[in-house]
Amino acid sequence: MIKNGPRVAVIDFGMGNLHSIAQALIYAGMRPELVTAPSGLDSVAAVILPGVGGFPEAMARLHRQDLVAPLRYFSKSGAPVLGICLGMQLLLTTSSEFGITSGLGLIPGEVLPLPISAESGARRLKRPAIGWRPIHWTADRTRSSLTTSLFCHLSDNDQMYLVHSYFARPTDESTVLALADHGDFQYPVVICSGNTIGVQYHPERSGTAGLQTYQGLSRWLSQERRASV
Amino acid sequence: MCESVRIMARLDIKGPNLVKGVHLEGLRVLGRPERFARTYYMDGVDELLYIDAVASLYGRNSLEDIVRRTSSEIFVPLTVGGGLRSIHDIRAILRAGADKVAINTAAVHSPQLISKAAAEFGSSTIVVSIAAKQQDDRSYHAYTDNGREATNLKVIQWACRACEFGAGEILLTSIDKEGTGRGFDTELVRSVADTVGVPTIASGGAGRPEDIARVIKLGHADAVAVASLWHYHYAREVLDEGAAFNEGNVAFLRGGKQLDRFQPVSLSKTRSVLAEHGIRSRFVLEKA
Repeated sequence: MIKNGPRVAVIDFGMGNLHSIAQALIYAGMRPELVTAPSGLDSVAAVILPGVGGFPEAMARLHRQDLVAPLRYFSKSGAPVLGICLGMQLLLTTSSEFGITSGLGLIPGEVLPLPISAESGARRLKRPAIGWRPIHWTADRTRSSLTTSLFCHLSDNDQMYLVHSYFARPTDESTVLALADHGDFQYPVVICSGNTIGVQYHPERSGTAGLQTYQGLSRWLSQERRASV
Repeated sequence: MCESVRIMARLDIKGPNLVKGVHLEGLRVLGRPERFARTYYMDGVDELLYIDAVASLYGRNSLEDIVRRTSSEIFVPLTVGGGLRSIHDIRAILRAGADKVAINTAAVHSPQLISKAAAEFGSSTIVVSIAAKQQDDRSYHAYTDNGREATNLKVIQWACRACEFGAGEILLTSIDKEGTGRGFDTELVRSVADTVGVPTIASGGAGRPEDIARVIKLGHADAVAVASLWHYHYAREVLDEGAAFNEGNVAFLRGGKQLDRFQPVSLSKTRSVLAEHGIRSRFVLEKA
């Protein structure tokens, strides 16, 4: 564990691969703190919102743990919030998984199911979609110092690990930084609004390419810390 | 045109060791699983699959330790199975660092475990593992207890039922082909892959990289688990210091008669053979 690395909250609502995320944070020189209550957000430099499982259950738990308002507040403060997989989807306004549920509403838009048949009539698409996919950058990754740090070292050939049955569709297309393919269907895999960022892929499970997302976060936080001293 | 296919390394574990058998029995020690896992990770494997081959004999702790060590240094998905009997067991293995769990025997005895686990941990976390053996009437039955116990369950029906209960993937092992190097049972794989709506992982039989291409193109496998084909290649390079070796296994690894049917290859060689067959995989975006 790095003694002086930036402290990063990993929201623990009992759903998600917290161990892997913690390991990736440590690898990249940060100090993970599993957070179950609002007080855990005091004096952390960034928040990671993980998630594996169902949207309604995740939101129910975030409400029960009184984390919804504090997460919105944290996001509005401008400190980084990184939503991963289901965590990215929770950033949106609503999801249609098991009926309509409200999300955190930090990035306007909705969460919808992936299609199961390709338009080209080829073999049926499986759900959950599981596998390594190339990320197609469709907008400027250098729009902020944070997105530059997180994403600019990735090449067009880098593939990331995805596992999901639903996808996020932001209302404002300018919030979409990258797309991936599910058969003929393209959907957003990187979205951002200010310093609130969502990645549909698992950066802690995508080998060295994925770890660059964590290393980028670490670099950015260290620079911010030096700048504020 | 195929979606990009996953190729994963399957490591069968007994106590602290990586083992390999034929038809899921006759296990030989090859070395430490963590060591092989690290090598596979550095050589770009897509995922790792740990199956505890004799779960009941050694208890849980040894496997959890291996999982903990592996997950602290490899950053690709790790699926763990073998002897997981309850929500409690699943939670413990996930906490130790596994991303997914594979359940067979417990799911057959109580399919409700699948739905409870899927509700608790997410469908995509729960892989139902099916060990299939062909019967005299040419149908396939599912076997439990790492291939030792027969059931009356027909594989296709059981696979469908497992998905209805919430399985996120099906891991399909051919007991007849496993460890033989004679190729996959592509008909078996296709019959399941074409029926279920979740990804199907084919396991058992790869002797040459072309076998992997066949089970993808003809068997419609979404992912392929490879054991002998890679272990025998990497074991020659990785002769572990201090592992529980005996002379017989060293001779075996140095290329005894048993390896005749195998053409052990590296991960990158595997990927280039797949590319030659028009199959995309990680690191290979263009078909050759």
